Amino acid sequence: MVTGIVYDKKYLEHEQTPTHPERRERLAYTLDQMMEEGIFDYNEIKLIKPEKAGLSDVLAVHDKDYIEFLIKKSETGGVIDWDTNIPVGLIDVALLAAGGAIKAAKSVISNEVDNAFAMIRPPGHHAKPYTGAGFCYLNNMAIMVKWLQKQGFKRILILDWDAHHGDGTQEIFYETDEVLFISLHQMPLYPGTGYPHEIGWGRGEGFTVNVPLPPGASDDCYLYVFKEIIEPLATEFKPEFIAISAGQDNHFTDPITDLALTAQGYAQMMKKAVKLSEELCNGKLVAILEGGYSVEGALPYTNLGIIAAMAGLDISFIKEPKNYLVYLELRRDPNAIKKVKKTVEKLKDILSRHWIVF
Amino acid sequence: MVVGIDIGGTNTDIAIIHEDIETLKLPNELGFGEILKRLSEKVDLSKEKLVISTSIPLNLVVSKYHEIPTLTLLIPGCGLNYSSHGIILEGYVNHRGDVVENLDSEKVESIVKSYVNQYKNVAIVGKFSVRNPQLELKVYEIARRYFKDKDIALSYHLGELNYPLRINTTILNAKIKSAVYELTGLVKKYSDNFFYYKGDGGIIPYHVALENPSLLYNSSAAAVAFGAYYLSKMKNALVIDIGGTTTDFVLLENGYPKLLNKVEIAGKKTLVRCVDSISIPYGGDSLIDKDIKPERLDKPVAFGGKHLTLTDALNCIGFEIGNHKKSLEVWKDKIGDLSLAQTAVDKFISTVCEIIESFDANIIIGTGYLAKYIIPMVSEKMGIKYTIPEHHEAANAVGVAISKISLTLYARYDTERGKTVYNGEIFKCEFKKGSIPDDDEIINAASEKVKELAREFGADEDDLDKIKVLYFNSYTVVRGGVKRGKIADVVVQIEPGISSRFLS
Repeated sequence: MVTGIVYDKKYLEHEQTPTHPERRERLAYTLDQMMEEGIFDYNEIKLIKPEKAGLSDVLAVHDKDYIEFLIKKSETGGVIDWDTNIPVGLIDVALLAAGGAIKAAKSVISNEVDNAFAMIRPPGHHAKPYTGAGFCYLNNMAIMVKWLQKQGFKRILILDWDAHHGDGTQEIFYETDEVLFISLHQMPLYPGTGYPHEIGWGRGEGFTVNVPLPPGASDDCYLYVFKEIIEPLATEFKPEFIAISAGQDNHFTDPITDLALTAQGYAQMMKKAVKLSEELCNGKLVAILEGGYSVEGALPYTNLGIIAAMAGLDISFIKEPKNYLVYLELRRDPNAIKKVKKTVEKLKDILSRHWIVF
Repeated sequence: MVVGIDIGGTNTDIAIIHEDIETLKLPNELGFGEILKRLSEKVDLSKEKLVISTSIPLNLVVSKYHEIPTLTLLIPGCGLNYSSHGIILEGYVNHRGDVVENLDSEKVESIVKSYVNQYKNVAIVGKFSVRNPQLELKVYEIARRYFKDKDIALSYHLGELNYPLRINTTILNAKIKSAVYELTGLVKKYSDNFFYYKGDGGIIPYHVALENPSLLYNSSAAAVAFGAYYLSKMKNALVIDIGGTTTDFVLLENGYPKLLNKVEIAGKKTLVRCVDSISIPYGGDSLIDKDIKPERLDKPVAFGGKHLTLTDALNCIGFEIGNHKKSLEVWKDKIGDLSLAQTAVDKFISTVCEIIESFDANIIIGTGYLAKYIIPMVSEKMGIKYTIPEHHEAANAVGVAISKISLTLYARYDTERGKTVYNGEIFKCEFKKGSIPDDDEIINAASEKVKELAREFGADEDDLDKIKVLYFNSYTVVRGGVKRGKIADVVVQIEPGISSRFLS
């Protein structure tokens, strides 16, 4: 099993402002962990250099006016909203991030690698065709999926595990039955969308699935949803490609969310996703980085967990150091699983009109 | 005056460089102690600069790699699974250099005690120990109760991030450390201030080599490359060094041999950095038993040995090396047919030519005692020009003598914590705690530190004007929306090469 890692130093260097959650420090300790684990020397790992996305690929998702706005504001700096500003030079790194996602997909379908992880910044899943939002500028996931559709892929499964609802990605694919979009996210939380009743529109009805999770939801909740919702739907949908928005702000140490996933839980979810891709679509799977702001307590371990699971390396020692476990106890809600079970029951009911498996 | 020594497979070559170059060749069968004694009668080693290249003794150890069992104690903590690499101990140092999980000292002691009779030496490797060696040092203290210091290797001296490769390199160090220790003991009787020659062509004080003996791996190839360049002034050429046991090939490009990183030794990738060279197991003392064999039993018959060798074959085709008449006499007696001598020489030359074809070279520099006999024949067969410089028979020792102090500094500045780490050792921060220095200030601090270290080691000031920055990364540390400090990782290097006092 060979896993490609799409990475460029520019992803490490991107920052909105030096004190923003999206700053240079974000991936620094993750890179430390990966370098110390010797990840880039493994035969199972291949480092892939990204190229900037072409404008035609970006315009398959975004409006021309918005792109021109980004280009212009990248010269002087600008603002999209109160927590998404445009630093000078932004358009270059944003195009490199979108291009990184495409490169990951390209490397998989050309069999250069079995699967790939695009460790890209800035993130993308809140970006809509006409605007950026929530630290995102270009919707990297949507750009990659549209590129795959251009290559002839007719059924693509998107799993969005970021703690925040992937509202941008949902909007872009809301009316199509060629993309099954499943989002697991905390509720209540920014952006405030992602209710179970949001299931798509027109031809896309039934092909958007939202699983809101309560604060304190931990490994048991995620693995339950995987078993009860993701696996059955994926098996019926029979995707030709699986794409994961692998946000890591669902970790129990994340400073801007309230979920309680552990690095081991994350690695196990990833392992299940890899198995699903092997069963359904010859292992074709790409994960792309979205959010995740616990720079020391989570990201080094969750990112390592993702890579180890994708490359088929042993994940039994993937965990946080013991000094963090006190935070897990404070954050985890042992009753969250009851709420999740109720949500899943309700969701199955809503989806039963569209899916035989429910 | 500088004295350079290269311990080869058969002989030890010595170059004494003062106003001119004087060279000596002494057979290893004397023992290194006796060799030093004889040298000390010519030169006051306590006063003059002494540099030693010792890759051949280390190669011998490496060739017995799997016969020397090493107790490997690992402190990997969270991350990937290292249980196939050694014995896992509890404890963890994180990326920040914080001890976040402690050792269980009693458990460690009982493990070491239970294995003491099964192992010859110990390798201790902790994750992120290059940011904080505390846990490695604790395990060292326990291991020291059962093993001698010369048989224990720690990984933090390696300075570099890459835990799996640090494991492999520290295991190698555990196996070769005692050979360097013993050699150092012999030399210290004559000189307290000597240097070892590294595999990349630079030199380091002996105490640095004891912390990381893998630095000395394959030093002879580097020595002969720089020596050949210095003696011939040819910047772009293929150096062919014909020794007693082996013949080595090193390509020079612009006056430097090519360096390899992460060299594989005994089938394992390591952090060793050394010259890219090819070595074939044939040389002047190669046994001839109807045919030339890749083994050495004794010195040539022409020098008092009992077995016929390549050198004797050369005498049988008309050369006059040592007691050439004795070579002929013994050949006629043991083998009979003199034409087989030409066959043996031809086979050696063909083997050499096959190797030359894998290089892109327009000219050969021949070194080693037999160069003046063999290289012209090789040159004719290949149609490539050649040169055999003066002092070619000890070009390796000359290369050892003329090289400059070279070192790599792995520096990490963490102003949020108020600490600096240099090559795995923690110091108080160069910058004020909580400050946000500029990138240039940080690079400057690292450059000054590496120069300071080199000066302490005895480097010439003229060798310190070029500091190479191999890696730089920095970022602000932010907590609670406020800048708390800055972290920077810098790797700077004084590159290996010829000392400026020898460059005109």
